[in-house]
Amino acid sequence: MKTCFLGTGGYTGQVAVRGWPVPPAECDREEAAKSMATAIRNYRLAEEAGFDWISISEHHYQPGLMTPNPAILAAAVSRETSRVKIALLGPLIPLVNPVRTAEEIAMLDALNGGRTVVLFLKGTPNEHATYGTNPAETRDITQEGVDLILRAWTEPQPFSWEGRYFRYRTVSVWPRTVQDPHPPVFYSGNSEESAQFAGRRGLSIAIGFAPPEKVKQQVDIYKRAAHAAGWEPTHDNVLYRGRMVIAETDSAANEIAERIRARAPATTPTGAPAGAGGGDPTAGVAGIQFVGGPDAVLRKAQTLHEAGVGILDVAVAGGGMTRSLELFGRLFAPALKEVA
Amino acid sequence: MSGLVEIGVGPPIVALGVSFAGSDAHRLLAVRFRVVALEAEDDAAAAAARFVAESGLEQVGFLGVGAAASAEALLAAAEAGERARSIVLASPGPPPADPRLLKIPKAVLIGTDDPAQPPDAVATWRAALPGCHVVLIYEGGGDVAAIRPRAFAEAAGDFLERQGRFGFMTGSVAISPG
Repeated sequence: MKTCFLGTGGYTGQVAVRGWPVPPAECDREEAAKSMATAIRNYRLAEEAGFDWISISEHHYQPGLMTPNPAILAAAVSRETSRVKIALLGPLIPLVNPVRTAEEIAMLDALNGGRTVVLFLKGTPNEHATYGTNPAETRDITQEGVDLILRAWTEPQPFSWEGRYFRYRTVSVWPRTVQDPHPPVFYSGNSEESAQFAGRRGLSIAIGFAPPEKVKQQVDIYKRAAHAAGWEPTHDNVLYRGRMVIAETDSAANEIAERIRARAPATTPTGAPAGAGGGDPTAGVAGIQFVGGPDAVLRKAQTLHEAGVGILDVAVAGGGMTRSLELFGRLFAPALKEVA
Repeated sequence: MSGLVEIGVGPPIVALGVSFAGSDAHRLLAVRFRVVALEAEDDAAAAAARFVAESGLEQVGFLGVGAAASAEALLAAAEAGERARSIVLASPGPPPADPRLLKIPKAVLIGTDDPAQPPDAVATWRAALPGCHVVLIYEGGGDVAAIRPRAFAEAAGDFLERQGRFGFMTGSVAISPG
């Protein structure tokens, strides 16, 4: 099983205001620079700890995830690492110019020697307010945008695109991606419709924060759509995103998890309700899906692998990031590689 | 035998295509062109050439909608010689074995999900018509004029109007100019 370090590019200072958007006045300029340096350092430590991938997502107008353009941070991380895949998980297609995104990702792939992976998403509801996007149209915009980007990466001659949401009379992306025909592309597998779209288009899927039985259900939908389209996905086509609290023992990990839950805000950094569904401490984006020492985490990883997952994208906590990554590298990474 | 349906005022366009005359795509294109749709039962190219010769028009745009009509439009444009200003082929199917070499601006409109087009359709058309512009009509299927008439009319109309400069948009993007 492959592992991916979900970093945040988060603000390292204190912010008194919660919710979304957070006023820029809360951001100390020097602290912003320090935050980016810290994020890059953490990604470098993640590579040293044995992660196979590192991931950067797109979020706006708040301090928890300060990556409105993930490609910029990815470019910096590309020069600080040499082995890990650099995963943009991912650009929010309704918020961006897809041709520009195709260009940026191609440029990134050239910068990192073909280590780029990308997940195209439609964004969380609050983020559709960022640039004034109609939430009712985001699914269709995202699907068309993905089709356009794939075409922009693979068409060898200039072309025009007359879509429902995008019109470009000249598309001719330079540079070409190092990876041929293009970097691995993931799509959301969280809904039935999105899993089917990914299967039809030959894309991989990413499922976030769901329990294993839900993951298996989505993977089955995805595989049926892929089979109907004439191909068979493997574990490497399914990524699972979750939060992981680790320690040398289960009891120590549980204590850390309790402290994290106690100070959890009412909303997530992206503005979504943080309350865990039905009292389940593992449910939802604010839940913690992995808690424990090596054996407990391995059992959960094994369950997800049996549901079809081949890549774990995890935000790791274990008593400070440096210590968490050292612990992950020493006790968890080698064992997780053996999950099959 | 042939029929003729003419709609609109503006630069003249001769359009060939089964079921194109009077369609939504025809009406939308006629907002800024004089679109003369010919429905010939036998030799549409000859009918189009005859119409151009008899009309006295000095500059004409040509449009072929569908595989057979696109092949006929290519012949008609070649026959029209210097009177042919530009040509657009919509969902043209595979290129004819021996397409006429036209020096006028050319565009091919292909649906991204056209079931009749092989994966290399774009490359095939580029080889058959050197210098042609390829416009991908998203989810235009095998008949972009019928399935995406507005997209068809925008792309075809802009090309017929501005040819190689159709990449420069002319409409204002101001949101609140007043």
